[in-house]
Amino acid sequence: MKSKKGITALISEYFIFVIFIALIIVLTILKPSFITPRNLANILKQASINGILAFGMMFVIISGGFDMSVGSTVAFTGILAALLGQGQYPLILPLIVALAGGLAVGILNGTGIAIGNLPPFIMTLGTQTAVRGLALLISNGKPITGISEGYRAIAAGSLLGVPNLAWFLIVVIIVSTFVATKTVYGRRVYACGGNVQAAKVAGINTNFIKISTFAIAGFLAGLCGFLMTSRVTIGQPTAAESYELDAITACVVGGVSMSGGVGKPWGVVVGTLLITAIANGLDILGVSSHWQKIVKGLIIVLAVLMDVKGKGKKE
Amino acid sequence: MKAKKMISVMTGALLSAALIAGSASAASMENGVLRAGEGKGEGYKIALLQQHQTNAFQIAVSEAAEAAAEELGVELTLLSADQDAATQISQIEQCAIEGYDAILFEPVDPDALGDAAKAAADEGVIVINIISACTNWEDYGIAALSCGDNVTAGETEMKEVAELIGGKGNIAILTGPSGDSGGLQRLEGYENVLADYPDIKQVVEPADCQWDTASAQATVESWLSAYDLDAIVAENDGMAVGAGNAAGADSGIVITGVDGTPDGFEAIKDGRITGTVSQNGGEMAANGLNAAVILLNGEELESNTLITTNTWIDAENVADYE
Repeated sequence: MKSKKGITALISEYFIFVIFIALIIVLTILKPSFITPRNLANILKQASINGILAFGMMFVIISGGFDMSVGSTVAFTGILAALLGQGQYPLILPLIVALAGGLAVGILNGTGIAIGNLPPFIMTLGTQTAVRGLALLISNGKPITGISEGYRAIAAGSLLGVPNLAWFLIVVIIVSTFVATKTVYGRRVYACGGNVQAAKVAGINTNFIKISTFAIAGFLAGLCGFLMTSRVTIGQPTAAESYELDAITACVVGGVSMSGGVGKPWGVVVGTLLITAIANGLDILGVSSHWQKIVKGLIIVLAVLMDVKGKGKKE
Repeated sequence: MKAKKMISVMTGALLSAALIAGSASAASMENGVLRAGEGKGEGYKIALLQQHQTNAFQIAVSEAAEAAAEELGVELTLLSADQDAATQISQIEQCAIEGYDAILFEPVDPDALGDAAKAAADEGVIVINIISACTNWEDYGIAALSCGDNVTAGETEMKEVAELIGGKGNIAILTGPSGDSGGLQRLEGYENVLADYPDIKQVVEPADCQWDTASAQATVESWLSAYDLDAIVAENDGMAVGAGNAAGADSGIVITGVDGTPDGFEAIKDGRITGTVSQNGGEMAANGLNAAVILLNGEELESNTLITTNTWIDAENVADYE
């Protein structure tokens, strides 16, 4: 009896993972080429940028916030990196500038929310618009071409059979998981999102926690800007439109609660892979775009619904 | 820069041609270009309202309009509606109040701008529709339409593809946002050509990649792991570049786009994409501006529909267009 109960608890705890495995099996049956090493490498590549953004978003949402500006920040920092990545400087410069640009947007968001007491949605909606404008302004609305061969090779290459982009994601996953689950800082982020008042009373500097989570999201968006330009080989001011929504989707599907305080890093990994595998699978099945939108929407809602139901029963 | 020079050389040639022809007859187009003549627009105030100013195509429109205005001596104001029909309606109303002699506009929506255009035309402003047509534009007092032909652009692109793959093979199509009228017209052009080639097969449904490079790149990566494609036909250059990145340089797959933007040219030069159809957006604006000046001077247009020509650009002639 006891072991049976243990298994049900285990399944409901890892329900989203079960759904993910089921999806992989169904897609493989429908189209065996889904499971080829080449396509699995594709899925990793396609998951990387959204996955990195989702980890930034995870910290923000767990701390009780919300960031609408990361897509614009990717475009803005991508333009900066494209301008500096024409081969005139070593590649470390565009990387540092992109990271710094993203960090600056994040700190601005966090400061407005923590110190200025603005609702996160309003503050980051403002920066979403303004930062997109900045990207258009410095690029004069045109795609920036001419990035160097070395810069292109970053996203195009692979190491030990795994695409370079995926290595960036793997590093982000490892570091973020460690920070979220094994450090005092991580526990404070959860505490802050769980109950701000209680966290304050407990002596946590909640303003610092809020600002720093937005700074992490901005910093990772800067990394994505750098990688995005390498991947598409141009700096596009209109790139990464609505990527914040994809990042939020990955978090929510992965079990991060929109009300803060709850969420596990492995859930975000599964959430990211799940939505990437859906898009990839529907593409290789040759499903029309209209249907893809419907199927994607349904799967997201169903996955979360089943997850919530499963957990509800447990309690 | 070269393209600008070419335009001014061409203008010079056409100007002399026009002088020889004399000014008594109605102004007509030559090779898709209409010119009123240098300095003919002195003293006129004209506004040009763009859909938005956020891509290479639109920037080419702004730059060509500014160059044409300088040549004509027109005082030009450029405004962007940022893809919002309500903004564009207010802009038309405002320009009519502020006494502009002519308003050129690229409608954000084919059906939303008619009444605003009519109101301005009723106040005596010359209203010219550029780039994409309003539905039944002639019913709204619009004096002329200056545009390219998206159906023809699609046909030009697909014909080149069909020839390059020898009239048979597997192809896939990347489209703009579902429901975008320009995209649908290009698709219609593709279908017109495909009707003549029963051996060319679309192995997947056309994919809506929102004009976006990254999105097209992901879709094509996925396709290439499951299908053998001979050609990938994209409705704009941005998506063609994404397909080219997924396939790699000199992949042996024919990859084409439409627009003739700098990212497309770069990819043509390094072999990631095969070619593109230039829509000459700048020419559409320049023709519209010249048409406005001709009408303001009390002259007539031979035809009030001004269509620019499409050009196929590939590795052989790409250097002429940069």
